[in-house]
Formats: sequence, C-alpha cells, structure tokens
Amino acid sequence: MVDQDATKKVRPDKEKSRLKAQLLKRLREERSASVEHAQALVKEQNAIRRQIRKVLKSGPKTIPQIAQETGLPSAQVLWYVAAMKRYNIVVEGEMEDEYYTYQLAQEAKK
Amino acid sequence: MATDKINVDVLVVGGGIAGMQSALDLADQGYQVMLVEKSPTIGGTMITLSKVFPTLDCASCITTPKMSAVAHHDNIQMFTYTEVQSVERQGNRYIAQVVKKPRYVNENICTGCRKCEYACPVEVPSVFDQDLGAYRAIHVPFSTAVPQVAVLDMDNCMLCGKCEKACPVEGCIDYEQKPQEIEVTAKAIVLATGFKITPVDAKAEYGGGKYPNVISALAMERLLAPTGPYGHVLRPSDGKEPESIAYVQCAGSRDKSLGVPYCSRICCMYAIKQAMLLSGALPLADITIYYMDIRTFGKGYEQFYQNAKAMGIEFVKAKVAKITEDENQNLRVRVEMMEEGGQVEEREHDLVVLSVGVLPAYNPEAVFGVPVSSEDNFIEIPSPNFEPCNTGFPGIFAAGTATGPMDIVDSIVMAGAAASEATAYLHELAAAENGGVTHD
Ligand SMILES: Cc1cc2nc3c(=O)[nH]c(=O)nc-3n(C[C@H](O)[C@H](O)[C@H](O)COP(=O)(O)OP(=O)(O)OC[C@H]3O[C@@H](n4cnc5c(N)ncnc54)[C@H](O)[C@@H]3O)c2cc1C
Repeated sequence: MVDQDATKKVRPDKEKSRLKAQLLKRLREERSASVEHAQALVKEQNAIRRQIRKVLKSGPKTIPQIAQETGLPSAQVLWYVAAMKRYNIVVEGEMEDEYYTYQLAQEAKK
Repeated sequence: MATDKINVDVLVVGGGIAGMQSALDLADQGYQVMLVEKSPTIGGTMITLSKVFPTLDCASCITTPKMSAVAHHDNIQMFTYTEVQSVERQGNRYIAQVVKKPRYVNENICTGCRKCEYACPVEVPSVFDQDLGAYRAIHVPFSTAVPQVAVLDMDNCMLCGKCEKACPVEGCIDYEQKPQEIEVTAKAIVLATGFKITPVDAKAEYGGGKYPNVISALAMERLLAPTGPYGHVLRPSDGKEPESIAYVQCAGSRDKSLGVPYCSRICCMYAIKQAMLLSGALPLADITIYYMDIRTFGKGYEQFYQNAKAMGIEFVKAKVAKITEDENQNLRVRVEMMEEGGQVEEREHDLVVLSVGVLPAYNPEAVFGVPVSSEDNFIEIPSPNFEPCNTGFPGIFAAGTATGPMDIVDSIVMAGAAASEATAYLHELAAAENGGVTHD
C-alpha cells in the first residue's frame, strides 16, 4: 500500500521516498507485533465504518436506527459515529424524539 | 546516548493546576524552574472539567491561560511526556535523571495543524474524553493542549506512512525517535503529582464498567463540556438524551472494604455542580442525588447546595444497594431509604453517575524517598499545622491532591504555599552557601 503511494511522489524526491519506504518497511518488521495488531484494528474499523456509511446513504438516522439496520450494538455505533463527527465525516441533524440524527457530511452538503 | 544537563533552582513534578501554579509563583520571583509532566500535555484533571464549582466558571477558559503562561514563561522549562526515573542527593543539590518519552513527532517544528491526525486510519479511545470518544493513533490530545504538538501512539500504529505524507513540515514525523535522557540539578523539588479517580468498577454491585449507562463523574464532565465526545449530554448505550439521571454519592469513598475509608471531599460539590449544569442543559430531565450526607465544606458551598435544592434537584438520603440493567439498558436502582422508616425502593433512571472518589496518582517513595501516609497513601506531611507543604525532606515540598483530596481552590492555595516554603528554603540555602545572594 505504502510502496504504491510512494511511487506517486514527485520525481526529484524519488530517492528520498524510496529511502522512507525502506525505513517504514524495516520498522514494520521490527515492530511486527504492534503493526499486526494495528492492521487488524484498522480492518475491523473500516468494515464497521463502511456499514455505517452504507446505512446513512439513505438519509439521516438515529443511533438505534443505524444499530438496527447494521446489526451492530448501539453503544459501538455511537462510538464510531462520534468519531466520524469529530473528523467531519458525519454531521448532526435534527432530533427525532430523544435522539439526534446523523448524516454523511457529503449528503448534507447536497 | 548523550545526556542533556539542566540546572535549575526548582524541579516541579506534575503539570496539573497545583504544579502549574507553583511553577508560576516561583518563576515570577525570578527562580529557574523545570516543570515535568508525564502526559503529552499539561493541565491535569482541571482542563478536562466542564465548569467548576463554586463559581461555575468554564474550566477551559480559566485553565488555558495558566497553561500558556507556563509554556511561555522565560523562567520555566516545560517538559511534557517526561518522567523522573531516579533522584540522588549530592550535598545541597538533587540530581534527577529524567526521561522524555518519544512522541515520534519533532516537538520543535510541529505546528499542531493536525493534518497527520486527519490522515491517520487508526482510531483509539480518547483518554481525554474518558474513552467515550475516539481520536486517531496520531493526535493532538485536545484543542487547547499545551504544547499544541501531536503525539503518536506507537502501540496502535501500523506504520503506513500516511501521517508523514500529510505532514507539511519536512522531518517532523520521526518514526525512529528515541527517549531523551536529561540530568537535572535542582536545589528544591515540588511534588504535585495529583490524583486519579477510584475505579468505576470498584463496587461490582453498581455495574460500572459493565453497563454502558453507569458512568463516572469524570465521564459526565466530558459529556457536559461543549468540546465533549458527543457535543451533548447523551447516554453512551445508544445516544439517547437522558430524561432521568441519578447520582450515587460515596461510590468509592468512605468504604473500608475498598481500602478508601476517607471522605474524598470534592464529590458532594461536583455532583451538585453537575446536577445544576444538567438542569440547564436538559431542562426537562429529572435529577436525583442519592447521598449519605452532604458535605459542603468551603466558603459559599452551603449556599450552592441550597440553590441546587431550590432548582428542583431531588436529594434523597438513601444507600444504593444494587443497580441492574433492563432490556432497554435503563437502570434499576435499588435504594434503602435512610429516612421515612428505611424502606427499600426500586427506581428507574436512564443514566447513572457514580460519584467516584480520589486516590493518589503516584507514590514518590521509590524515586524521591518521600513516604506516603499508611492511612491513605497520599504524600505524608509531618507537620500539617506548621508547614503544610513540607515533606520533611530538605527542599522537597508537596502541593495539591498529591497530599490528599482537595478542590481547585485549595490546590491553588497550597501550590502558592509550597512555592513560598520553597523560596524560604532557597533563601536559607543561599545564605548558607554564599552569604545571602539568593539567585544564581
Ligand atoms: C469529576 C470531578 C469534578 C471536579 N470538579 C471540580 C470543580 O468543579 N471545582 C473544583 O474546585 N474542583 C473540582 N474537582 C477537583 C479538581 O479536579 C482537583 O482539585 C484538581 O484537578 C487537583 O489538581 P492537582 O494539580 O493537584 O492534580 P491533577 O489535576 O491530578 O494534576 C496532576 C498532574 O501531575 C501529573 N503526574 C502524575 N504523576 C506524575 C509523575 N510521576 N511525573 C510527572 N507528572 C505526573 C499528572 O499527569 C497530572 O497532569 C473535580 C474532580 C473530579 C474528579
């Protein structure tokens, strides 16, 4: 993944990016335990975020609604949605009874 | 590895409100100070609070200026993410070996722009938000952190290189950064290592750590703060705006079975404060405080309590026996009334806050030789009535919650007193060493 990205770098920096990629590769080997742990974490997190995004494509939803449609525990959905809100992927919408609704930032802009 | 050497008048350990205040009071008098803080930012617990009793000032608004005063003071050298490893007395000096942990970010050139944070693909629970929210593996701890510098959590890093690519400053992200060793020579030391809260799961019958809607009061501070994890007071199980919130007092204090026989002093006041803030944030919510007795020890505090009662907050003198969760993750709180003939009642709430107690954050005995009290494990002060900050070791003083539970007002007063006791000591030392000239 990283090596691929590195080749996209501007030409004069080619040597530098090659060295950087090499360094990362070496460090990934040295720190394989934590790297593997983080890779597994990212895989799981990406999958969950993908599910949440998919559900939100059809419009603003509350946490229990997202939980029901994805089958994920609602506490977990809230944790992810709060993070997505923090990083501007999701925005908060109107309230529905005692719950806020959330929608994808890109949908909200439309 | 080359060891850097630093020579100061006073080494202040801990960058919470007490340590910051001591450092500022010493530095303002012309003394050279090194402030060592173990976490990546100074500010301690106070910067995580929403508003503070008894004035209801916004905590961030009054803490942030102190934090920047510390960072910008000519006479203070601030070291975050740094811990003291060992201390040795040589003549009239303390020689401390301290280690600055790697942030994997060059602190001198990081601008705090957070581009690395936005690029990072790993999310981890935010310590600042009591795990209720998340930040990325590389992050600036919070928006007013001092220094405004990112820190990379290497335990959760997959070394994908995205942060480095996003970083606009060449050479700022340094995956190979090593710990930095520093040798500090100081004439005096102020210990201001603060407190931690009693574990939320200390009393299994309350369900803390098991039921998502049983939270600690520190978590509630984050929910009440405008910068909090959800931006509103919502319950963690499903994001519902709670309609009925209960406080369980002494949930971790005044309980011999937990090894915390003492009163943590601040819990009555912070619970009353939070209840008032909640009735402002959620005007329709019912708020109940289950208590054994209310201790409003400071100036203006009793009035604060009376105001809360007048606002309609329900104070119920009762012992909470057990908390259970129903299928909607509402909580059934079984209480034994201490008035009205002691009958047992079961009440339903959708969020329960445990008024957790105060424990010392650090035991300085191994490194500094300073013992803790066998009664409560806080730093021992041999003559509290005469020298309230003196540890009994020449030139070593203590301030704030490192010495016992106390609020911000008392922590600041004690920090000033510790600075005063330290300057008196430095004067005497200078007189003995070079006939009265006090500054180097
Ligand atoms: C839920 C809650 C609400 C509260 N609300 C209020 C309120 O409204 N009003 C009020 O007056 N008080 C309130 N308090 C109390 C207030 O938080 C404390 O009085 C105050 O923060 C104590 O400051 P301190 O500097 O002594 O300790 P801390 O804030 O704990 O700071 C100590 C610092 O030392 C650092 N440290 C620890 N060990 C080491 C080490 N070995 N080396 C280097 N650094 C170290 C820590 O990381 C920390 O930054 C509340 C407390 C709680 C739990």
